Amino acid sequence: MNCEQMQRLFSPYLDKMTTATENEAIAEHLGECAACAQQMQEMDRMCALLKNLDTPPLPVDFAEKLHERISHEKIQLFPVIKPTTPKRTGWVAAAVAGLAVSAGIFASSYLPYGAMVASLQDWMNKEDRPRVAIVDNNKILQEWINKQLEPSPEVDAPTTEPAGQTGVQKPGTIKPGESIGIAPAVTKPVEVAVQERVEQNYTAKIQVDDMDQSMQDVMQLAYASGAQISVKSANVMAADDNVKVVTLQVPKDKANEMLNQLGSVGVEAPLQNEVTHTQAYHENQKALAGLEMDIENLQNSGSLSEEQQSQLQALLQQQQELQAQQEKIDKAVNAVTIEVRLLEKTNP
Amino acid sequence: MNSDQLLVKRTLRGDTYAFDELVKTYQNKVYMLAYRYMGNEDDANDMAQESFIKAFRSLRSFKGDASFGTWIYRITTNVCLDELRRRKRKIVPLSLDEPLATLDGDEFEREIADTSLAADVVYERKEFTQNMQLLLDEMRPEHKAVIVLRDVMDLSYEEIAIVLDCSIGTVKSRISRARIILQKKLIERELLK
Repeated sequence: MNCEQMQRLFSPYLDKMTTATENEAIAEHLGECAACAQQMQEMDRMCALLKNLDTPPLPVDFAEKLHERISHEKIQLFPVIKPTTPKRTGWVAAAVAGLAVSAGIFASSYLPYGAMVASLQDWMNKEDRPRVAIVDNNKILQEWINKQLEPSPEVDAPTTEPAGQTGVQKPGTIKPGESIGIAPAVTKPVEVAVQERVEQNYTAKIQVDDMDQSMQDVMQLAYASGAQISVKSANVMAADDNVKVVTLQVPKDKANEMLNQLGSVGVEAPLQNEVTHTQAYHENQKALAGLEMDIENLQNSGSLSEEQQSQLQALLQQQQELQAQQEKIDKAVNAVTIEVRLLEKTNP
Repeated sequence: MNSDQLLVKRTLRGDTYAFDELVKTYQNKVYMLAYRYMGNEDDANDMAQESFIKAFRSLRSFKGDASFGTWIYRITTNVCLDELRRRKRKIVPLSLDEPLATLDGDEFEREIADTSLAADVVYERKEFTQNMQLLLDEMRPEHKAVIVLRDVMDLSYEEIAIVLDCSIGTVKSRISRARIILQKKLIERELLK
């Protein structure tokens, strides 16, 4: 092998992808050829340098932007499955089965089945074979044949069910409209009903002469209607102005009453704003339904490996977080937030 | 079923948060791969986003034979190489390392004096990375791909064969050829000492 041919082996050699024969040839050649030895060293160094190249950091909003794009994807992740009508060939199968059973019963009166089964059992014992399931089947067959041979008025309609099939649904017990023998081939996507989740907010400004008195009025009204109250001082444009923001969380059914009463202390025409949480809520619901299935599967799968246990823990935690998010949305949706900004002009 | 497969299953049931988890796991690697192919941050960002979107759209075709990582690297590689080929058709007619074919079907390397890089390059890590990226960008997409997948991403020959949808033998010879070409360029520019 000349130098050029040898150099083509350096790359796989460095990746340990050469054969033992090739390795020997390379070692021998490198011992004799200093130029090739240097080339191999340089290639090794190049590979090491490539492993340590700097990469700029991932943009901070990468995942967020991607999530946004994906939520707008109008894709058919769940293909529409058209229900197929069962082929009406069932009666053919039933007729063939009926004929086979009749022929078997008829033949049993002529053929020495008992002797055949007995000789089969002898042969099994002689060969010293383990008595496995087939022995039981022979017994069942023997019993069944014996029963057939006994004179009985029910001989024309054997009712004995084969062992192990006691739970099989009998024809005739199938409810109307139920499909027969068609197993669902595709996993049904989780269906979650979409309910509108809209949060209502009101913002109102009121100019007051006496801040303390007006605050007291608003507070009294709020307490009377069972609202949750939070008060903060707001940033003001003019340093002389005194501004207080009272945020009231009022139960939905008492919102109108509260707004009317606020009107009595001077609050006029509050601005209404609606925040829709429907999509987020729906997404969370779907995620929760999926999580529940996974958790149930894991919990039902008996003894869990360490990896499965930590997987289960992670799923349970995720479930808790999502439930908390849903509760938060529900709370926001079931109450109306009224923000009252009280502005007192101290230096008119 | 490993955790990636579980997340894929959940995504297919409509749980987009499960897909976010997959993104979280692979976003850095996918971005790194796209950056090495494209050579700049903006294109890398666009291509990495595009790769995940494509993966999301074709999630049903992920059968779990290979790992989700290999699958997403394959998508990223296809997205980036397609874009590079599209641009190459538009702007640059030939790569510098594209071999010239002779009439009897033989190939030989193009010899072009390079003036884009100064010979007395200071061996600073940042500069070295920039120069290496320039050299990678000069390579044919197929050669660039194997260098990036093997030496930068540290994938095995088997994984590269899956990503590029070719045999391990092809991967072996392509990596060897690409490394020889890149090494030659590095030596010419005195970047390998």
